[in-house]
Amino acid sequence: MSVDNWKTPTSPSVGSSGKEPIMLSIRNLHVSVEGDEILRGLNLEVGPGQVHAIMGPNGSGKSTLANVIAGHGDYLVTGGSITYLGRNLLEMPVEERAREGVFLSFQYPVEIPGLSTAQFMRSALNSVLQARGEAPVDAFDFMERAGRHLDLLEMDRSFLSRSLNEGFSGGEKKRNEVFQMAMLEPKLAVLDETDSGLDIDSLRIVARGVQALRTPRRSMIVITHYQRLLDHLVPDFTHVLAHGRIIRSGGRELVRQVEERGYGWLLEELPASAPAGA
Amino acid sequence: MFDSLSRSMESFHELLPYLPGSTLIHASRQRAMERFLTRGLPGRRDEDWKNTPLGSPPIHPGLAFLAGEGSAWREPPMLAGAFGVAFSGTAAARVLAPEQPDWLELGTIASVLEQGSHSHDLLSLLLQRPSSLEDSLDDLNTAYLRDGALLRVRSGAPENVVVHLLTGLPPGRDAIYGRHLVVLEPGTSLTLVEHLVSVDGAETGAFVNGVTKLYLGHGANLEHLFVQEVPGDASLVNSAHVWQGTESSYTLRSLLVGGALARLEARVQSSGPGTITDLRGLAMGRGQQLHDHFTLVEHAHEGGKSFQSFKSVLEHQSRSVFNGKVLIEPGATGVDARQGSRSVLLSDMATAHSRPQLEIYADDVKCSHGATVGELDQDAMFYLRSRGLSTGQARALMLRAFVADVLPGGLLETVPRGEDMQSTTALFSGPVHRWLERISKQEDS
Repeated sequence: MSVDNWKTPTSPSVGSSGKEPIMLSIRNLHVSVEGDEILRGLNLEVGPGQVHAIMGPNGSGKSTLANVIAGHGDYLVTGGSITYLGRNLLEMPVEERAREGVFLSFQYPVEIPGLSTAQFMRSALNSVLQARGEAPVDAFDFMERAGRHLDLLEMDRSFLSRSLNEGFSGGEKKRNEVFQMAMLEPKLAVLDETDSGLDIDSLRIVARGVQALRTPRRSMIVITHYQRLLDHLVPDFTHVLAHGRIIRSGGRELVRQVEERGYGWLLEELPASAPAGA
Repeated sequence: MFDSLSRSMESFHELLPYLPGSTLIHASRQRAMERFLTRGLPGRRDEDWKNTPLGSPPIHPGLAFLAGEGSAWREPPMLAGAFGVAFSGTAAARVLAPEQPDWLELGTIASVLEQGSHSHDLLSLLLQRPSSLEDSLDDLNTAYLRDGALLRVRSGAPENVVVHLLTGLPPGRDAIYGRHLVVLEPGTSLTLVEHLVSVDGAETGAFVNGVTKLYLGHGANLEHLFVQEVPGDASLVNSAHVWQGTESSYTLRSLLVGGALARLEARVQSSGPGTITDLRGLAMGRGQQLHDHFTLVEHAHEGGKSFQSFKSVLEHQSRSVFNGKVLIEPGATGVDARQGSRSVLLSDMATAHSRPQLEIYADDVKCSHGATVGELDQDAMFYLRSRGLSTGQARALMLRAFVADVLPGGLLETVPRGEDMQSTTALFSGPVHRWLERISKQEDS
């Protein structure tokens, strides 16, 4: 089997209009962190409205992929390309990516004591709206928009006046990430282990919240260890990432295979040279 | 050296006739000037001034200042509902309160000085030095003291009295000496706002030596707010000398934004048990500015509590200094003294000096101190930028969060306008917002 050059069964013409560009195209991506090569020739294409699940063992490079898409400076791209809606994503500053519709749900959201969630979110929303050429929201509009999403995520209004993520439980932090995603209405959302550290109830709420944000236009990359999130949020495509590249792709059935059999059988099928990278 | 000293004494004698006060006062001025000339301006040899090079500012005031002949100035709006005293450095102090209630005495220091022996008690309060004071600026202030506000809150006063002391500095390089005397009788409370601005917002290179003497009676409660936003390259040294009676509470909130060199000293001495002292300050520096908070809290009685938190945010080559000394005298048992300083450097060239000092001569006390200096957290910056905020906007938001807890009433969400400007929270929020707005517009650097 040829894993190196595998692509999702998607072509640029998959969308309804037939002419729109691919949402995201990653080609032969190589990324190092502090001198260690983590991604070693990763390829991935995501079309509009598609949900791609990325699974893989610890240390396989899942979070690296998420951070590189968002633009974290600690991750050094040493080769390959990422094209987002026809543009070179790697040349765009972090905030420009966000303003153009890229959203990362953080695995470990940062706590900022003293900065209220409302103030942060309203500033962020207005930056994004301005980039889209839309009018900024005032405090009243903001509360109206925020209220709808908070209800869906079963979050109390008092969230907004609390310091950003400070003292939030694991579940509250992840709900806050989904809340931010709902507010910013991204075109491409990358969810980095949004299900980790959640109890069953929180998982259900978070999954339902993300599912509600699924539209025919919005694409998602869902990075997870477990099947449980994907029970609620059924992916169109599933990829297994190991040793810095995608070693197997398939449909939703691959989720169950991984859940039942783990990753060992996939790793054993790899050509001997693969782990070292191409 | 002798030459310049004798010239200084000559200048002093030329100016003395223009200074208010009786022969008795002038004798005190003469002795103070002699002490000052023996010691000179504080410099590097003085441990408490090691990182704050005052240099050689012009120390002799001009005649316009002494004669109080300067033209009246148009004061910025006073705080809503506040009694006020305005003092422009060239014009005499002016009481801005048409009617004074029985429970408030509001006057000028010039009149106290002129009354001489009739106001003996006030004079001794006005001239008292804290025991910890070693440097000579207080002497220099006594020698050239021109005017200021006299303020006494009497029992029966309501709880929400606000007095706004506005000092306007003239353009040019004048030496300005002011002194305020504030007396809170037992059980009274007051919010005192000391506000340093320049006349008509013009840049000034003045040398300011300001002293405020504060006396808190048994159970009195003083909230002292100090805001300095003087444009230009002024050298500003202001001192608060505080005597706290039994179970009184003194709160200081200081904001240093302007001037080339600005220092605020708070010397707080307990004169009875169970005092509560809460000192907080923020310095925001850019360019070559130097801002210095100096505190000395002397617990001489049992059961006192003191809390200190000082912060600075520094751009370019600016510097901040924090010297915080807590002295716990023998017998002052059960004292709880906490102190901390935190600085954020926005440039590789900025410097923050922090020197906490604890001197403990009593048993059964709780003391702590801590200091941090660092840059803004990079993970937090990435998090905010990943939501669409520019580097500048992300920095400004993080700095807002950083500074809010040392400001009275926190930081308003937006720039105060119109009537909203006339609250004490707005008085602090205005300069902070203006500073942060500049940061938020900066692009990646």
